[in-house]
Amino acid sequence: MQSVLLQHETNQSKLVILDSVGFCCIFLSSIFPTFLEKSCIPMSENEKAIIKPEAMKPFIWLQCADGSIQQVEEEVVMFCPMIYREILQTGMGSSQNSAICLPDRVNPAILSLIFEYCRFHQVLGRSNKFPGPYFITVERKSFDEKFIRMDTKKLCELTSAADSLQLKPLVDLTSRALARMIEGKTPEEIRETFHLPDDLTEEEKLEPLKNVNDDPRIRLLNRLYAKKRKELKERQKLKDIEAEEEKKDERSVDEILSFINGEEDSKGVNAIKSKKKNRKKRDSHKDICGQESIRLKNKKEANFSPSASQCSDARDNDDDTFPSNGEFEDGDIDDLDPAVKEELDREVEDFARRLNSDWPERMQEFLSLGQNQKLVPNRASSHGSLHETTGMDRR
Amino acid sequence: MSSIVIGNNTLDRISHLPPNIIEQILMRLPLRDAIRTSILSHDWRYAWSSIPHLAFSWQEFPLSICNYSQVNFDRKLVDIIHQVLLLHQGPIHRFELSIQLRSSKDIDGWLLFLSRNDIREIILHRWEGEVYKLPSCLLSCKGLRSLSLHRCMFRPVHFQGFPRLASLFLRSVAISQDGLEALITACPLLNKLCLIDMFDFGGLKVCSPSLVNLTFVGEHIDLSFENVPLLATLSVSLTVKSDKYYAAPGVICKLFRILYHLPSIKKIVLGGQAFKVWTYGELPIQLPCTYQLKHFHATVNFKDMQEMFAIVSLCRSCPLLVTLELEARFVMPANHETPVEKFWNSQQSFDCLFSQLKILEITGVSCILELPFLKFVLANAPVLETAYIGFDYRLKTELDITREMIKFRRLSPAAEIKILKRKFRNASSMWA
Repeated sequence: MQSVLLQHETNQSKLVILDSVGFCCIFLSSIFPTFLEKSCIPMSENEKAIIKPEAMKPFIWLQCADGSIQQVEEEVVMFCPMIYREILQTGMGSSQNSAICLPDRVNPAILSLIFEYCRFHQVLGRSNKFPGPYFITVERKSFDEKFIRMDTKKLCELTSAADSLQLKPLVDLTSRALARMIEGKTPEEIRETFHLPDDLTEEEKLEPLKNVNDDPRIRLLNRLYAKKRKELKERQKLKDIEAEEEKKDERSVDEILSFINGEEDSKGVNAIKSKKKNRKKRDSHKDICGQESIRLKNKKEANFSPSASQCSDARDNDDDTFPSNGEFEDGDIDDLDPAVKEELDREVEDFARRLNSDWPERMQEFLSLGQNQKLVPNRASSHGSLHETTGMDRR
Repeated sequence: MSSIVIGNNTLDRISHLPPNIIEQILMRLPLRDAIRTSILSHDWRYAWSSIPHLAFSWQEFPLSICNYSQVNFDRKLVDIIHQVLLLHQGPIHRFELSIQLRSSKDIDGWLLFLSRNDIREIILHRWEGEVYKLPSCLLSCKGLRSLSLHRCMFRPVHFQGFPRLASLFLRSVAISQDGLEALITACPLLNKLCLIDMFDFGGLKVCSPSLVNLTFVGEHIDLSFENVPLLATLSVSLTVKSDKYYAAPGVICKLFRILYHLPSIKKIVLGGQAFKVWTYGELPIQLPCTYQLKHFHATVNFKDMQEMFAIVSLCRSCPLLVTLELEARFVMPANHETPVEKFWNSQQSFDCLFSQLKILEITGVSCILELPFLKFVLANAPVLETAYIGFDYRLKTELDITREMIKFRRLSPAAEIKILKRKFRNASSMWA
């Protein structure tokens, strides 16, 4: 032990002559006593070490944006081309005073992570422990996989820092990891993972490029739904103003129906309503995979309106597959509140009556009764594009 | 950490990464997921629109066609591609369209759009529908570096070639022989050429001063080389329809004639019946010159003496050969006794034969007649390191053959014999 100390002292005295290298060595000796021990044992090796300073592990000093100074082994730092170039060009980094300044985006915690990465890959590249390139690749990959397991915040910072240091392999690795976190997830999940603000309005989400999964019909549907909302709001206002009259209307509609159908009770009327709905749905189902005549479009719109809310939900959830036509037909009307449901029921029934070929003469009759003249033009005018089907513009 | 504030929302880190990083992340996503990011938040709305790679293939765009007829699916896909191209901003470097699109009338428009947007790589694989005739605007893509076509029709007329084209992949493309030859010659930087299942050719003369890598798979045609000083890798796999082929008397077989024209050749892979066809004819007794060949893979018939003699001649004229991989073609055992043993015993061992051979691989071994070659190599290869033996899946038991193999004398002290794991099918390792 004493001899070692003695040698240590002699080392110190010898090394005092050299400036920066010596400093490194003294620093080294305090941290890595084994290093010195190894080189201490034969005296000649020490002398060799003095003559050829590069045999000792030199350190490079780096300064982060917040002022803290770190030192790292040179060979680890060499893995990073930007710092390497800076050392060559400016000659800085060899002492604490002339530490190399790192870009803003690098902070000390991230810096240590980066150097962990560099150290592993540098050592692996030089090692002859592994028999061939295949094994080295496997080792690299498994290290990378473990290395990349961190929370998204740190991962983003690491990516940013690696980019500012121009460490391409690390940038590739981190971008791949971030891409894997985004792939295959719904927008809500992605927003949650990365804490993104949901600051796009509904309309903005729909335009300009609707999610590429969408069918043009869903877009049409959503537009229709928005229109419907507006209409329903207007009708609500009308309702408030003319509440009693509307009730009267409904009753009279039932009366007419029962009259037309030959004294069926209201349950029968409902049954007829639902039967008509089903028939209409079946008809439109047949027609869906077909032509694009306006009449059919209208039919579809009518069909889709009760389930509009469901469809827009489906779109928001980014279903992979186009929801089957069955979904539209089985639109869950119970989700809406009763007033809206009532309105929509009436809409559906109205359309059904208009479009169903059994009814035209009866519609004439119905209108000639004069009691609902107010209603029909209202409806006809509020559904702009549906005018063409009815031919009933009684203006 | 508090001294570094990134953006207003300190939680949302990813949106404030530099744009080149965001582009890298989006490029690593399948295209559909990348476009979906447009509804994430305000910052991400148009982030995807500048990625330079657009790929419409089943991996990138998993659209399901469950309830659709083909017509509707086509329409939907065309709509999507129209929208994507319209909303894209910036150059498009890579465009891939290898999805089931039956109608092809819109592709013209897309190619015209791409030709104006600095396109560098086009992949156009038509799996269904009629063969697509490429429009002339494709010829005006001056920056094109890589072109990959499947089931298209290409009629380049008065074409000066693509000045930057480095890689050309054509599969089942209808193009005239003259047109193809002209195209190959006219592209000054053509590096890699791959022709698969081309038809309507009588022969093909390849003349390209820059070509390094050539792959040809298809029916047997007369392949010839005129000026290919840099060709280093040649992979040819031929299927022969008729059993008769014609070899003029006194003419050296095709293999050696071709080798003569390939001064820089380093690797040759011959699959199918290419080796058989190319060694039909006279074999040189006195070898004119030696070649720089380092790797040779071929599918051979070990029971055919002509082919065996060709192998020996080839190895004699390629002293630098390092890897030799032979796959035994399964041939029904002939009625008469083939003088395999006699042949190999009578082969002299030359000085330079197998002098550099390090790796030998023989796969598809199905009977004992395929072993004398192994014996011959083992006895004559001074620096052989490994001999891989793979058995044919039809072989009942490997034990007899293995027992014989162990007896063989080895010239190289480091030589090892390794038995490869039996594959379910006799898959060729050459095309892997």
